[in-house]
Amino acid sequence: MANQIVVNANQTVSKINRNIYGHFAEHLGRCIYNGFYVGENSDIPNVDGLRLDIIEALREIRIPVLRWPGGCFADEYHWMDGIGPKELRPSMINTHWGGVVENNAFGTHEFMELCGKLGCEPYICGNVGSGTVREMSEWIEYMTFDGKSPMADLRRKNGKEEPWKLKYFGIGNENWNCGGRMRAEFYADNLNRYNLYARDYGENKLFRIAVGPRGENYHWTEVLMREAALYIDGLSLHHYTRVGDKVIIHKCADDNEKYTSKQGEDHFRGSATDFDEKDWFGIMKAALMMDEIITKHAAIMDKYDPEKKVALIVDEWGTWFDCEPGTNPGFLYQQNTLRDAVSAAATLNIFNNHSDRVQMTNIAQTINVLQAMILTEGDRMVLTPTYHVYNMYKVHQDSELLNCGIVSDEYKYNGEKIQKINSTVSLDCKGIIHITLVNMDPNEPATVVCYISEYGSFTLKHGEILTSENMNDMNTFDVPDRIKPKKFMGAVIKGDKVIIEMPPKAIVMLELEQVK
Amino acid sequence: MNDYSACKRCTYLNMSDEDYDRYIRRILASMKPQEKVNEDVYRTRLASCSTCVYLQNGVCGMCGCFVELRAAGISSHCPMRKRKW
Repeated sequence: MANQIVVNANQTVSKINRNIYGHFAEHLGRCIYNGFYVGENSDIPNVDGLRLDIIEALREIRIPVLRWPGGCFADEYHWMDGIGPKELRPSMINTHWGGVVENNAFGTHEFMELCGKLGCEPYICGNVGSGTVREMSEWIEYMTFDGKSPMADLRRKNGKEEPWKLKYFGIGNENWNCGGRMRAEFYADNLNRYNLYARDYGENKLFRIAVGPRGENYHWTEVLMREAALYIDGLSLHHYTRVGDKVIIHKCADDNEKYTSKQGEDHFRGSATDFDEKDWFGIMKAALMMDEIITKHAAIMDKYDPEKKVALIVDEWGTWFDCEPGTNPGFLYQQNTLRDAVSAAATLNIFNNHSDRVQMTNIAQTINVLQAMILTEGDRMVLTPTYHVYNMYKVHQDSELLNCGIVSDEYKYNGEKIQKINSTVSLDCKGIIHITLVNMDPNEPATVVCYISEYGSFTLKHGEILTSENMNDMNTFDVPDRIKPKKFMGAVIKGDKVIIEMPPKAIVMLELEQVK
Repeated sequence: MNDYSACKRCTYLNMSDEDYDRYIRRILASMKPQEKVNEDVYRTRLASCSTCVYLQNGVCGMCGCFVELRAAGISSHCPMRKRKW
């Protein structure tokens, strides 16, 4: 059977918010310290301590938004520790991640400076787990109030006369576990209280993001939408792409969930690099699970919010494997192979195709942690295969999703099967159509016929492919360019059809232009 | 700025010093002899690491590795721009 995609260029479905291509940076391992931030005295080229090669690489993929400071770290972060003269900022132990000393050299001012240099929106996550209503309220006052007040004056004293523009603000993080082990009902009441005092100052209007569910916890979504949909702009979702999970889920009589962790050394999730087809298939299947999870949460949201005013914000996702051998397990440092790239590309296609409800996602985490864009070792830097996916897919940012139907062959393994092909088709503001396609099958190529109606005559302007010989190929510090996009020559246009010959385990991006 | 004097090793693993020693020794023992440097080189490397400002909790801040493991590899090197070993 042929793989077919049918596109109507006149039928737009929804805008693909650029923030779907967002990122996440936590005070964890070497994401912030010795990642983004190397300090002003480092011999690694930097500006105000921020590493220049990282900034340049992330500007290239048009990073739209960056979530900070966590994650679970946010649940114990007290923002006042991270302002003022650095030599006076207190040191503390980062109890969530690695037990290292957090000296607070990177705080609010440094984060805002980083976002300015990256050209992206800041997304700040407030502390509901161990912080007070007053603490959160004053943080927003400190950042956004342009009048005279104790917090605004403190900001000025610390060298920032004008307030920052801050749109995205999270009212807590994972309050179902590391953010306080709350029931959905208890969190919903707390959310409404904290949210009330997170004021809009002047022209600064916060986009308020409530803590949403972990994975398939649909009860959480039901309660939050019922109790708080009137007061929020977004509801988050955390779901990682993994086969083995360290977390044990306990279902409670009241439909809530409680979570505990398996004990012992961390070998539950499998190696990031040493795997076979069984592990490849497992991760592909896990990646596609995102579609089912979003569909079910979105259906609950539709019940309370049919006009889709509340966005679904997938602000933690990505692959999660065992850490690289020999590294601190608390640092969550993992390598990144073609498998990560293919699973990320498929997941981004899912997000694009749910862009009526999904308005932002933040892959975890930008530098040196989990499914990173960039790995560093000393002054060396590697762009991961996942980074290259983001570079290929940036063409969808703020484009219109086009209505399309897809028929796909199956990729079968050991009695199980998944769809072999998935895609996104979008139309940008210049009238150019971009198609991203993924062949998840690591063994067999795929011929895909794409019918495009209501677009007239068109030409293939550009094509790129990301693939490699072996499923576990990766970019290393010694061989940094083993996997990178190459020009794609496997597509031909015949009338209103594009015929695409996809190699196995490959990601393709095509750019089509109308003949006028 | 970097006051690391309060460091513990890795509370994430809830490791006692004894557990940590066993963990490191087990991984070292699993390395093939031809993958490891000799004892003299190993001790010289670790001595160099012990004076480095990026050492925290037995972990190198420039690469995230337990230095006692990284220093053992014959093909390993210090990740710093100006390599200490």
